[in-house]
Amino acid sequence: MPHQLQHRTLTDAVRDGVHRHPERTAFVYLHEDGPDMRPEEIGYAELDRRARVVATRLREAAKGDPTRPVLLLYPPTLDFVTAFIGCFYAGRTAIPAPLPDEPGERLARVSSILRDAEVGAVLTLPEYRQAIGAWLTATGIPDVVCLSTGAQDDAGVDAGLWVPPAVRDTDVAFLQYSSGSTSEPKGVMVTHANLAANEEAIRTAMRTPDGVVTGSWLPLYHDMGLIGMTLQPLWVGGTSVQMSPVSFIKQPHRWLRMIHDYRVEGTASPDFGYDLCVRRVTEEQSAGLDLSTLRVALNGAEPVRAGTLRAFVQRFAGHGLRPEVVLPSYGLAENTLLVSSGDTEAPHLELTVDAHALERDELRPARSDRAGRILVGCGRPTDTEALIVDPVSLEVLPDGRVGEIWLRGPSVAAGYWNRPELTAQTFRAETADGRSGYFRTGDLGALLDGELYVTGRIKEMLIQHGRNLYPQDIEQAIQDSGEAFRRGGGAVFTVTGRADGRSHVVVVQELRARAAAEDDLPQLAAAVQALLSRRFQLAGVSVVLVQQGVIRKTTSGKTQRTLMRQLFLDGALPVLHQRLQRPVADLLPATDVTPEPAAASPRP
Amino acid sequence: MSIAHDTRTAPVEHPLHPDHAPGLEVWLAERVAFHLHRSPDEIDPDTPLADYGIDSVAAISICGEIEERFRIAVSPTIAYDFPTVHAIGDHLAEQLAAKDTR
Repeated sequence: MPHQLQHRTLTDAVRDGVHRHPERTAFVYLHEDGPDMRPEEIGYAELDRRARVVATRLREAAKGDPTRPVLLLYPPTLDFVTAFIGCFYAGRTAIPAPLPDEPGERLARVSSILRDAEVGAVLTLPEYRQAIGAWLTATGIPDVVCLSTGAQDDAGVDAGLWVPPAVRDTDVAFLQYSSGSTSEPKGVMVTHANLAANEEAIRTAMRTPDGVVTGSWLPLYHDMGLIGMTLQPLWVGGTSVQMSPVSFIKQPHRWLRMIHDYRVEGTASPDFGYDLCVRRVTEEQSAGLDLSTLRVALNGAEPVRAGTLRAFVQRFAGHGLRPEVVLPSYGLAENTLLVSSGDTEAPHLELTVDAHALERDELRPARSDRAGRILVGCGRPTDTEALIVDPVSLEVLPDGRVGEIWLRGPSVAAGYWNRPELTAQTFRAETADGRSGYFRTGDLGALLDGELYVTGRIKEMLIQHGRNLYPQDIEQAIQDSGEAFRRGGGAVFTVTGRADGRSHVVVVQELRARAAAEDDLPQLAAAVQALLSRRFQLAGVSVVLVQQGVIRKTTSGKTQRTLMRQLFLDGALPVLHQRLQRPVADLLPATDVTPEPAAASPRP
Repeated sequence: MSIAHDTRTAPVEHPLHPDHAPGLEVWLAERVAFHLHRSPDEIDPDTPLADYGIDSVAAISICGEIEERFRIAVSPTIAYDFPTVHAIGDHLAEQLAAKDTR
């Protein structure tokens, strides 16, 4: 349904808020103050004034090329928000990134962004300016301006000097570096038109009221925290309340307390956040909590687990949480954020399908005599057109068939920064029957009666003899099969044999401490092989048993199967016991690995 | 790592005085076990937590529990800076004693 665009750009939205309600709070950040939380707030008029100062300083400082992007290195506080809006006010492309406050992975990541984006200026806080200046010098990239935006730096700059920028809808508003790896960063180019389209799509799908209050603990340099939880309220003249992920993980009840205290109407989290609340919030901590103001609690990580949704609703129903509030959704940075979400007025959909049919890419009702799998519906696509396409033949698939999810519409980003080839491959895809201009998500799913079901990632999919197997299904089956195997502590992937060129399945599974110490490990490994042979008709699986904590996960709790595969191939896993097929063992660095005979079939 | 035993000047009756560190350690071991999905008797106070397979969520969770219980701010990296239950316990006892004498 067409709807009238409320604002053309984020700048227009914020300026509109300034005129209508200058005193209203735009953003609240909850700082940790020992065990307590201390709010810091900024109103619309002050946010506008400080953003104008940032924009004016950026313009005055711009030596060299003012078309180069501006890297924002901040803790997730209101200084970040003013600097981010300041970039919009200056008509400069912003890059939100994590503050490299610790050496290692995070610093490497930000360094790779700096190089990839050809950053022209860095904005930060006064306390980090010296360290970041030294880092810039060390990276050897010339002509990068480093400005700090503290109260003292901004003093004496006249906000009245600000000139509204002339931006085109097709200009890149900001770059999202969330999906690529450190070695191959990918900056998603979100234009002003993309941002406007997606904010409107979110507003329509969530029925966001004017002046909404949202609250979350999501990082502001990621799409869900930024587009959904910070910019959506600014879009409708509302208030955003935020705290850091660390504050939340330390004490999960702080998130719920925030919802209570600020009468939050909309929140969002990956599945793992809801699960953490169920497991860790005590009765004492939840006493007196009122969650009845909540209209939307978006669950946006993959996979959305039916069990988590149910447990969360059950645990907090007594605190006014309504079941229809919990909203499974599907989104990604390449579509700005949201692709589809459930209805805010109705319970979400769950579908129990036949697991065998799913392996052959079909959604069929579950049969009583065979294994079933619960799929959670991620709602209907918003303003984005979604197609299900066979990733090999590129044919468009009918309802109920599983294939790659392809997207087209005003929220689809302009491509990856400085990556014309990759952009052409992924953002300009064409179907076999000649429909063009689609973005290939790399995610697998199906449409059924207009509802989108996401089933997995193509890259992680195991294709064995023409059947598609989902690693999470195999991992779950193993963990269900015995007490020894730690829940959530598995990673299944394939490796390609050097000599035979065939794909071989490898299972890495964590053992519980007691099993690791007392059980017969060769027997456990054999049991895994027998199970996979019986349940999935997988013969000759290689099994690696490890202790707890070896399986790597992202901060949002997703198993990093690609990384685990790499660690395995590097011989970097601390192995308790393993049974490897010879073609698999041959891939590893020379060690004391004793492979099974090549023709070995799983022992009973 | 510096465990400054010579700072033990706080009043003895404080339940969190360094001399009571064993009680503190029992509590710590219990919480560490919870977050690492183990039973408390599996946690040896002198074994590095890394050997039990600690991840960042567990490390931050342990930090949060310490803050909540003792009403002090501790670093989210405490479980890495002081890698065993024993070391964390000694560090906390020292901090609490310093807080007492302030």
